[in-house]
Amino acid sequence: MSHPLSRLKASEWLSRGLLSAFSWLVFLFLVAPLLVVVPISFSGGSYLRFPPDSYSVRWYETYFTSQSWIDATLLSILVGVVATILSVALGFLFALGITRGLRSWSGTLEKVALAPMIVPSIVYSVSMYSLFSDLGLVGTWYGIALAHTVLCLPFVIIILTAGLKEYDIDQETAAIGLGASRLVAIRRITIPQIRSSLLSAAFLAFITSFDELVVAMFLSSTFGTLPKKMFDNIRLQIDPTIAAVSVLEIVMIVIVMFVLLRMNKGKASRLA
Amino acid sequence: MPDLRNTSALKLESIRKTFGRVDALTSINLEVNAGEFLTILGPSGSGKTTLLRLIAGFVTPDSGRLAIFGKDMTMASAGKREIGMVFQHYALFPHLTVLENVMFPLEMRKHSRRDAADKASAALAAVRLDAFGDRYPKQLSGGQQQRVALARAVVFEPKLLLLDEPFSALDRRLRESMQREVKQLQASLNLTTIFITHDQEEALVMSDRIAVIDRGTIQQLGTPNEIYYHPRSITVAQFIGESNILEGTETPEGLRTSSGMLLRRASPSTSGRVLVRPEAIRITREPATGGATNQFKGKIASRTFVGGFTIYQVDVYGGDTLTVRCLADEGSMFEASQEVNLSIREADCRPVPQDAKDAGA
Ligand SMILES: Nc1ncnc2c1ncn2[C@@H]1O[C@H](COP(=O)(O)OP(=O)(O)OP(=O)(O)O)[C@@H](O)[C@H]1O
Ligand SMILES: [Mg+2]
Repeated sequence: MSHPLSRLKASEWLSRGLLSAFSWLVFLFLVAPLLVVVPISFSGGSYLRFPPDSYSVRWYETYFTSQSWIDATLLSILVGVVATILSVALGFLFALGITRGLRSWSGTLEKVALAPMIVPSIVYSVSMYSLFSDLGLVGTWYGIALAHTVLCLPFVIIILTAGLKEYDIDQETAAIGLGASRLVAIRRITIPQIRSSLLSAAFLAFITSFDELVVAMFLSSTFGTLPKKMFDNIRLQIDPTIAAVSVLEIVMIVIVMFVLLRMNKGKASRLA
Repeated sequence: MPDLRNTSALKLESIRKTFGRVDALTSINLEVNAGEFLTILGPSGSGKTTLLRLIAGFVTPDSGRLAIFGKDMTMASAGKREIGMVFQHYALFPHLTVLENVMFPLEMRKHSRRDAADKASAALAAVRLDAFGDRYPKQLSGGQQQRVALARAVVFEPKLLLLDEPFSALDRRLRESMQREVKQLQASLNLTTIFITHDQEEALVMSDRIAVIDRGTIQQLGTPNEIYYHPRSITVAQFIGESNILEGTETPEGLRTSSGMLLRRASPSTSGRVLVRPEAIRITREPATGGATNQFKGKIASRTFVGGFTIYQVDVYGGDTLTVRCLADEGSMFEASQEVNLSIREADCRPVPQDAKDAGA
């Protein structure tokens, strides 16, 4: 009598086991590069070898004591922050526009806005180079920031339009009816409620810029952003410094993600 | 604009609004008196929300004029109109506490924080939610959220209060208690209120006057009594309460329906239609005695017991099927296919004018 039932249970158990095994496999695949990079960054020798023969923190020392590495990092942060602010500000306005007044055009506009994602980065970089050289923006940090802003916009727009589509616009209308100006209503009522979307958009924008190499190669002159510096570094001499830098980057990103998660959790529990 | 200056709380003059090819509102004329409770009643898609949003200032009319307490406000922004509005889905701010929600309109009016908190607490007390100020809207029940929205809409002493189907999401019992509560609050503040519903019972219970709206036009404006007993069109008659509508040709004795029934009326009419409310028909075993009544014989087609009332469908011999509503009496209910006598007083056969649109068709 219990036979069919137990068979059902067994097959359910099996399929669940397979599913979790598969998930772990994918997870392993994703983190494998990290598992390799971390040991290499603590290598004692001066070659990229896995596993390292001996361990030390000398490559971290190299990074922190080298002015050019620190300069590149600071430049990348500056460019990233400016590109993030610009792309989130522009993307937010754009998303407001297509989720409201422009409803009948919104589908088309949304797709057009994703163009920078589709255009090959080398094509984009070459065209930016020729445009910016006319404008005298090649070799300036704000030139790179501007070009990055365009690259960040699609991500920002995807996330913010999704967030705004879920938001009940009657709340903003209500705020205006209660005496707020449109601007105050957006600031006090709309923005706090799509805050998690804004934070994810900003995070993604920053990562996009911080990690970008091709545009940075075309638009920087003697100085360079961190990815460019890393690239130059492996062209001249391959040593584990870039592994150390990668680990530092990963740590930074994990910290930022953790902070964002905490910020959202605080908000989510209030709204639950 | 000379006649915009008067004492009415709200005056709408030939207001029109179209969305693309949809005529949401076609020539709305409406005057609401100060302190009045006016209900806008109409089926879904009839333009109720559009009308309310237009009054609130969230929608601009294509043409026409709007005045609030004698002041032309056709083009005034929503914030300038001093109107409190409760939205169909409350539109509370989920990231603010209940108290902060109610304080919001006061803050926008530059009240000091302390003063705003005091006034907001008082408004919450008026809707019996003073103990809930620290909670977030999501932590309240539907009825409580509704009351917060109400408190927020009246806390800044608006000139008008607008309510868009505020009780449609509530269950029946809660709805009835909220109806009483809103009525009390409105009366105690003497606040001119415009209330939207598609529930005719709710409209009859709450309103000083009712405006029945259909296809973007006000079909009739009147007291609940007038609307119920003297509907000016079939649309209105059918929308309010249950109705038997009998059509036929006018004869000197009365209206003769196409099925052959003769309905005598208290006063002559030429409309060719008669409205008989189900509760105006008496149903008896024996033929009723007494003058000035129309008498019919028929057979019970079906019976529905609805608590306090019983509703019968009666097939009149050589005539129409009539809906009859009478007080339930467990001892003397009629059974299906039982033969019964119906009597309708002449005064209860009310003429209904032709719908303007039907006449044209
Ligand atoms: N922003 C808009 N754009 C286009 N059409 C609209 C818009 N708002 C309303 N309409 C149309 O106007 C008509 C009236 O809509 P409205 O929302 O006023 O109806 P309602 O009486 O409130 O209906 P319900 O009882 O379903 O809430 C409908 O046909 C609707 O489709
Ligand atoms: Mg509506």
